[in-house]
Amino acid sequence: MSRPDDSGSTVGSDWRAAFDLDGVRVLELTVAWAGPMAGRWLGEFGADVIKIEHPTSRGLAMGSGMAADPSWQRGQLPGPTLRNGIFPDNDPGEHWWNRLGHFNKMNRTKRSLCLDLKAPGGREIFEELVRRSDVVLNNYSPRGVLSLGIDHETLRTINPRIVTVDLSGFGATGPEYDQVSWGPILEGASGLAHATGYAGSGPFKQGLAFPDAVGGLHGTVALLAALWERDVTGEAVHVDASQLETYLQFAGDLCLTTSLTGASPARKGNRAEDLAPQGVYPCRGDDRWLALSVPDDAAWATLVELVGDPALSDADYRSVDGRRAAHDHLDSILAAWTSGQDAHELMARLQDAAIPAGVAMSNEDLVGDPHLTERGFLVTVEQTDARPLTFPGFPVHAAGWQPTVRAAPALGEHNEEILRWLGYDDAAIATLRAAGTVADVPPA
Amino acid sequence: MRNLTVLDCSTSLAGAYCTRLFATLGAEVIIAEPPGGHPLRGAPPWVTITEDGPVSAAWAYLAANKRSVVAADDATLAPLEARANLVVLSTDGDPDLALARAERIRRANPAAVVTICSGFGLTGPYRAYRSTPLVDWAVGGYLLLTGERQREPLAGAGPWSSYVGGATATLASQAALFRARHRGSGDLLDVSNMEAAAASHQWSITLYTHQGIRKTRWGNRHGEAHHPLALYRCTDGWVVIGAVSRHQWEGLCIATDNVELLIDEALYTPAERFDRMDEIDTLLNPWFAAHSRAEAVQLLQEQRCPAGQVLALDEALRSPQLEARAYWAVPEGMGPDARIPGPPFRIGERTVPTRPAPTLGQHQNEVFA
Repeated sequence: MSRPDDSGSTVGSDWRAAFDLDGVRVLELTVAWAGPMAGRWLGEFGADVIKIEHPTSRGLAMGSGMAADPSWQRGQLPGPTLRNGIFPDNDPGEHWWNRLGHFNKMNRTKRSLCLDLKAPGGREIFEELVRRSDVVLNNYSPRGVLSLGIDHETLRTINPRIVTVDLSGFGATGPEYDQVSWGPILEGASGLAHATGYAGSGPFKQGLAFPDAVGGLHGTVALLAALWERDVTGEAVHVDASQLETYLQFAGDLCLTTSLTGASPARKGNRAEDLAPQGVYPCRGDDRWLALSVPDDAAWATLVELVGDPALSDADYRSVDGRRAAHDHLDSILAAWTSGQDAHELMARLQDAAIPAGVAMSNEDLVGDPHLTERGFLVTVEQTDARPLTFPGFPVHAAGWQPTVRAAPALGEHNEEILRWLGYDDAAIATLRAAGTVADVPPA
Repeated sequence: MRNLTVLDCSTSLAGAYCTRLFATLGAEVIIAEPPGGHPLRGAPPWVTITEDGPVSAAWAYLAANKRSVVAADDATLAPLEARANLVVLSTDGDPDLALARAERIRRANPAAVVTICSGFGLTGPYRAYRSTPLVDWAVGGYLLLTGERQREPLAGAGPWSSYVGGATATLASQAALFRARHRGSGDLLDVSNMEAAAASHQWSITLYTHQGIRKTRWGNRHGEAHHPLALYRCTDGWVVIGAVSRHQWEGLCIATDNVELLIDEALYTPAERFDRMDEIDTLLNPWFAAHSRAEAVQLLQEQRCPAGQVLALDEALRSPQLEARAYWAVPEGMGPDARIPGPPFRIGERTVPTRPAPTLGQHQNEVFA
């Protein structure tokens, strides 16, 4: 990868990683989940990702005046004042803005420039960074993009090879472009919350803001494709990505069916049209469940043998149509069989018999899972202002290399090195600090 | 990703989704099918378009913009493997078979990136385990978080956890293609649906590693630290709202005629609102029950409180927003009403035509020519 107008970088050399995106510099102006997720992928692929943060940005939805709760014990839900931060050991510490668990998970392997673009001198710093960068990534609303002056038309006049990625909720155009949204709002707009639910129930949203994850993944795909396109044409490239539209990519089959029949999908719980029985069955313990699918008649015969209940031996059940017709009855027999058993042991037993089964993993299960542990999925990183902490790692394995995973930066941790690289001296940096243009603590 | 040739030898949903994204990005994607056809040709849901009987909507969507060749054996594919930039394989229960095939391809074409999609990965104790979409939902950790606490956990209405694996395989392959272009040699990538989902959680895993809290499901409420980020019933269906920040909470209180809540300073903390969600919802529910979805959303959005209708899919297909952005593609040969999602995002001025899913071996001659 080539970078225009790079006047002697002093910061690129130790940002190399396996995927050879080490020549790429990304300016990330994002909040919440989807945008930071895309930036994190680029960072762990080896790009130099500079997170440009407003001094108040880590205070989103946060209170102030927080103090540790001495009565708190591990495993206990913290009191409301501290709960949002997911602080390690529920202790906000002296610098709570550097101990935010959700932020530190989303923003690994980046550098932080804490910059107020609208303060004196802020715009000049940003524009010089744009000249020296390949990508500007944001997930603000279109109104926010224009307000900050980070729109494509503005930035391409500064750097004619810049790639800009706008990852908004509804896209940059259309009658709803300026609607404020969170992931669950997009689930509603997509028609997919309406399609999800138990048979006979109302609609259900996902337990996490799933469109953010989907948007972050597709935003990464878009960003990499735009870089590829930029290398083909040599010109600036703009990506207008709507998280609503990326979410609907997961339902092309349902969209086609509904468009042809006029009927929206009926809620069917955990059942499938082609697999029967299929369900989520209770196991021993509190809130322990096993997902089980019977993909074909041979697997059914094996399952019947394992369960050992003569009620399953009915000849009608030897075909998927027969099993589907008796699904409720089969569910009750299977639930009685699973309910006294350990979910993990049962998963292993069924999988050993080539029957697809999986524990409904909790976060605790995932952290302690022997398979993920052996594959090195979890990573422990040294945090600024915190003890070493464990996070979900990098889900791609390649022969012969390991990704570079670094802790999330402290607020403004790289202000000085970036400003010096841009040519600012001690006096100029002091002036910027005094004006509040750059900072390493949020304002009181 | 123009000027790239992708050979899709996978049989999984994740593999098909991975290469679908490459096809929408302008790559030439060739599906190598066995003589009996790709397994997804028989995957539900089915739609009936002609007198020939039902066809798989999943196949019609996932295989659009791809080309099809039939290969009865590995030797047939050797010329394609030799010129592909990316080969996508999959495995379900037999990782060694896929690994052996990958190594053979890499020996013949060291510049190629080879990506193997699977439920559980190529190493580790579960490497030979089999997956289905429901199993993917379960082992990636999403399943337990959705549904009513008093009932069994609930999967989404499609194989979306498997598609997370597919999208992850796409971006990993893209990054590896940059590396292959730079170094002249490709990598072997191992992408599992389980890890891809586990890596794409919001803060579930952090909640456990930092505080030891086992996250659970909260029905149509969002969980431990926020409220209201939830569904409410109106006169004609449901809406979803998200009053997360201070000004959004204020907007909600004003829009719903509950200004007295603004006096309670404790409620400015989102987690306090979660702890008192029954009390809050007792006040909110009558207001929603007296308004239509459209009225509620308009009044809330006027106060900059995020809100949207819970649309049925047929309503989403008529969404003015998606219509204005020309989002839907009309696949050829399926009638004027047929709609599938177009490209997931707009890259510059480029457009990629929507070609229908191929018939079995439709492009045999032109590809091998």
